[in-house]
Amino acid sequence: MTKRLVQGNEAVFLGAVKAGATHFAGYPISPSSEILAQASVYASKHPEFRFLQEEDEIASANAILGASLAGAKSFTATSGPGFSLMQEAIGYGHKVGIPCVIVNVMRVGPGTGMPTMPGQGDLNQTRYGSTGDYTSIVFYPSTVAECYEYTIHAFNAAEESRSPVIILSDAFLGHLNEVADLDSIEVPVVPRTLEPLASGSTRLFSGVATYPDGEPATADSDEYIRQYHEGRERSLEVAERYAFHEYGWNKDAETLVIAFGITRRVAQPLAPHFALFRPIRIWPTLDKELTEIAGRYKKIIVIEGSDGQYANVVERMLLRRVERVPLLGGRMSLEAIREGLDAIGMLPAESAPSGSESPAGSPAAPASSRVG
Amino acid sequence: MAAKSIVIDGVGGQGVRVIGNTMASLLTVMGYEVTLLFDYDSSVRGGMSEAFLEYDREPISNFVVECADVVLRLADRGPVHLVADYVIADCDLIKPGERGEEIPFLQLGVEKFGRDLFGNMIALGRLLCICDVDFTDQHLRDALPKKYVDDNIAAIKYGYGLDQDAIRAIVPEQAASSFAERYAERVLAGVAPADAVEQASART
Repeated sequence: MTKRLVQGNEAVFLGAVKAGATHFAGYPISPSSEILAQASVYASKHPEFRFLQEEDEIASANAILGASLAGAKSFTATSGPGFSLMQEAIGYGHKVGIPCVIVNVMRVGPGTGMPTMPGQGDLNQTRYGSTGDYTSIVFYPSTVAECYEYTIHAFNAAEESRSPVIILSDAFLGHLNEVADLDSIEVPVVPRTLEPLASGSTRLFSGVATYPDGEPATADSDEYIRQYHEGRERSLEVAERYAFHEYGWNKDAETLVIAFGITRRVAQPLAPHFALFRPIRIWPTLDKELTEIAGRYKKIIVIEGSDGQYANVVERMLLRRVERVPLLGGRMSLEAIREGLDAIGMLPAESAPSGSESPAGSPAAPASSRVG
Repeated sequence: MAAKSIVIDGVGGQGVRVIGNTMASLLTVMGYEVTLLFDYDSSVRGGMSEAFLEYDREPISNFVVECADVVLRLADRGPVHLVADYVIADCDLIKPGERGEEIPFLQLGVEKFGRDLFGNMIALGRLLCICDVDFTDQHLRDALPKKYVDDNIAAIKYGYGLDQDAIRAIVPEQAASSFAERYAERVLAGVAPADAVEQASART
């Protein structure tokens, strides 16, 4: 057992290496750049690991798709503006069925926004960013150890679903240094599922709709629908095996708080007053789990670093009113949460003042159970 | 004081990262659970630079410090919402109503150890003293980079050993300099830290 200080971005990189990644291509952007830097240093000492600093994020995303087609487990890391540039490549990856992992360390957008401040405003883009219909698998850890663990799961899910899988993080989680024992985290690694191109079997990698024999199917609706459902069902089936979430805090409370990533950490002092549901698999949404749990509570509050992106999803899923506490402009703090709760008349009168939080596991903070 | 929540408040280039990393490494070596978060403006030099450091014997959940047991203030660029029980500051940085002390760390670094950079280690030593962190030389050796390790340990111990009489002797009440403020202004204007110390000292 080796406990040491590990940075969130470093843990993502180490998780990728543990998962068997041998190719990184990227373009530096705050707050994700440490992942690129780690990859660069690692590649200098491990010739089997290939590192490419590309001219931009479009090239980066396409490079990891190419590397994956050539047989490598590949990944890239970026933040909001770079993630926007990657959307066409992500859609291509879904169309062709290319396993790879894209890390988005979220900052405050849109545009260049606030490059070093934490945000959670890219949730919708991870689901709907590219053109057409496709099924995204997206994980969002909330501790440094989880950054390592869920990056391995992301590579596994990418191999099994044969699609780009996204790891979300944020400026605070990415830059957080935390004592962790990564060696004690054991996640089985799914081996490479696709043979490299030119290894004997015929594979098609055109983004155009085609029949299995390679002939264009650009006007055949039935074939499109067949292939779409095949890909969707495969991704949903894989996602079902990765239904990671946390349910805990005060399960006897009247109100359920939904928080994820950084907001779940910051909201911890509210543990005595609310129940908690933390989706770790952000997409596909955890409909079955959340519907069952939410039914036990009179009220639901979503605390998130966007103006209601996930709250809107939950509201549509449950067909009931959901209260919102948006943490905007990078102000991820307990004080901001308390102000938000006060604004909607849901601040517990006896809630502890900011800063007097209890650590997870203490008597004042009922333990949570993590699933997955 | 057995502090658990520390904020180091400065501007880019002042040493916030060095102090934060060193203290976090030391506490990790000592077996504590530690979280260290750097929060900074995207302006590399001269923008606000904060370190939020928490340590405990139990795992830490909320790592964003809003009520600090101790703030080490090298410049006043910190979060407006931050509340501090005790402030260790370079000169002229204690605000009305705050409980704390002022020590010219950078000047001491130059005077006692020949380089302004050692002011950061003196400040770290004082911070460790106020926080009642009971470390050994071996803990420090395990936590510090090998380069300049002996000088850094000496500077940390010097800061740790400062008592109120020594501080009063260093900082006469009637002459509390605005050194740190002028230093921050120079750094903000793009002057290299070593030159900024010289320029700020010239006006005292």
